[in-house]
Amino acid sequence: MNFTLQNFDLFSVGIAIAAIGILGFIIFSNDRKSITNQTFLLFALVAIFWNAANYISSQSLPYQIALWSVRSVLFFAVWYTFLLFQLFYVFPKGIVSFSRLYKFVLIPIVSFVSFLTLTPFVFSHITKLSPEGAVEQLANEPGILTFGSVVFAFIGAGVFVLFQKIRKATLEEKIPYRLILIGAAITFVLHLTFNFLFPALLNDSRFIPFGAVFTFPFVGFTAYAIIKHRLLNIKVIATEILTFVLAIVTLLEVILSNELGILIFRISVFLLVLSFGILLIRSVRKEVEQREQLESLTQKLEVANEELKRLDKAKSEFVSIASHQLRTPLTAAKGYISLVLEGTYGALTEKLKKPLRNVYYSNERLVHLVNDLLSLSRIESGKMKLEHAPTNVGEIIKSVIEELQIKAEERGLKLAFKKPAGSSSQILLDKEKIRNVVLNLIDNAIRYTKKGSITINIKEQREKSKETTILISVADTGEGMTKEEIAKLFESFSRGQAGTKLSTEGAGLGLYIARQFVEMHKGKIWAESEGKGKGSTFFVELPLKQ
Amino acid sequence: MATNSQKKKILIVEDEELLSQMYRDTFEANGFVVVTASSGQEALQLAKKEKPDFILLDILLAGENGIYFLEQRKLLKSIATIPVIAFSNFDDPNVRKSALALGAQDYLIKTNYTPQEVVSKVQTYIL
Repeated sequence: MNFTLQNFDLFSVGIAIAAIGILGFIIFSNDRKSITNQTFLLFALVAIFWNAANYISSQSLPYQIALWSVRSVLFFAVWYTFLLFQLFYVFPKGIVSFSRLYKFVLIPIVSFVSFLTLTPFVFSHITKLSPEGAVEQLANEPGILTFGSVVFAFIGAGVFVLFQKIRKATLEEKIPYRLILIGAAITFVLHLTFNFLFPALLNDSRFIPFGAVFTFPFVGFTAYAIIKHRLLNIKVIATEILTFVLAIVTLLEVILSNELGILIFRISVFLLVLSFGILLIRSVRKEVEQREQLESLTQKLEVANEELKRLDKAKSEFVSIASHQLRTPLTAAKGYISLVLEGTYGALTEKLKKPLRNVYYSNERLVHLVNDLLSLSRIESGKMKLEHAPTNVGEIIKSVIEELQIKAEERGLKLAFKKPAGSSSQILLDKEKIRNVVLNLIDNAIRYTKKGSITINIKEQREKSKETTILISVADTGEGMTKEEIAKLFESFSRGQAGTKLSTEGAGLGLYIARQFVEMHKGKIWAESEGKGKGSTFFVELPLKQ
Repeated sequence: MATNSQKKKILIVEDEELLSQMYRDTFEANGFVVVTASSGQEALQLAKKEKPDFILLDILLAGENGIYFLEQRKLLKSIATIPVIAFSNFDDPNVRKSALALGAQDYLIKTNYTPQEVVSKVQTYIL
């Protein structure tokens, strides 16, 4: 009977101590930087030493060793209760800044009292040994009161702190605290029953060495609470449980081995399982963390994307409103000047007509600039859309020529449009945008031609194996361009050299916008020139089938 | 010279006084009878009372805007068939689309036309 219980003692205490240790390291490795996890590991280690000392002190030992083992039980009990208090104090936080009082008063007190327990001021000597040779009674000295009050103060303060936290916690936050309380209550009841009531009332101290087994519920529940609070992924928890169970099973085999060879083999297996298990947990945790990071990044990206959409909408609205505001005075200026020029307010002298026309054209440049900026803003934000309608390209060219005729005549230029027969077919395109392109090309030709003419042509191109296209050409007898200038012609905010020399009008937006409009129609726009002083020809090719 | 009863009547809805006056002058010089309104509500009342032959409608107005006018016009039988051109410096693709969907015959940008060109445009719609 005695033999069996002895074996059972060692077996259960060994398992409980190992379990506490394994849990301590698993929790610690979950988050090494968290003060809660660090405290938990320290608490688990002290619990192991305390319980081991407790077990040893209940065995038959030589006098001096027996005395020191009992003293060490008290030594570890001080740290055990202190760390219990600290665990309640820091849980569930990752970072806690301890006050100066904590660092410079509390810890010195704990150190002092724990070392006091190793001196004869607490236990001076053993007064009674059991028939088996185990310690039964000791001579208590006044230091025992200091020890007792410190230990109870820590337990009391810890419980107080925990209840304070439960009181302030939300319903959901209460769950981990409750788990800790349940574990603590089970451990407390077990200790109370077997370490106090049984020896005191029934004179049965057989269960005292089982301290480690009684401590386990608290450690287990607290470990679960820490895991639960971190809201760890189920995958991580499953890996941790698997590692824990495997470690316990292999440890059991170690304890049950009865041959040295098998013992060494099983210890190696246990250590392998434990180290690989911890590696596995860490890699699963890393994977889960990376996934969580990815999810949080995706979430942030979604938020940023929403913000960009909102900003983009605000920008579009701003551009629309700003151009509206800019256009209103331009409309009035354009309208009144045109009315004055048309003689609505009385006949105009020739002397006055020229400067008024200059004002009118300057105003027109502003009108076009606002239109171009609005178009550019829409093109660059991808909001420009085509509105297709059956359109006659010849009609568009005619209307543009009508608009620019006076301007060309004033500069002594001839505008010629040879509309070929049979080109009256209607094609589907965005009339406003193609008109804008044609207007731009002819207006440019007038601007960069000092004398001569501007000839506009239009022809349908039907070639086998190619789709039918319509080709518009605007040829002038102006300055001409080099190849380098042609290459840069249709880029945003650039102008050909001839442009800067002859005329500084325009912001270089017109041809860039024209290219965008033509390309939206799946067409092509390009320029040709035989060189300086030999004029330029601009081409626009549009597919007949849009 | 056309008598008043033969003259075409146009309702110009424009909240910019300077522009309103300019278009009134030009249309009158071209033989139109002109009534002007500066808000959507006023335009509705005038349209019902005056039964114009044509409406030149600004979109951004103080008070109810041009889109509101177009919506109401559709519901009122007495004015639902009067042709309207949306005529604004506010060039937003969605607003343009709404105006055309609500029955505006065209959406013109004011700054691109001289008053005389506007008259010519309107004449192509009336005659």
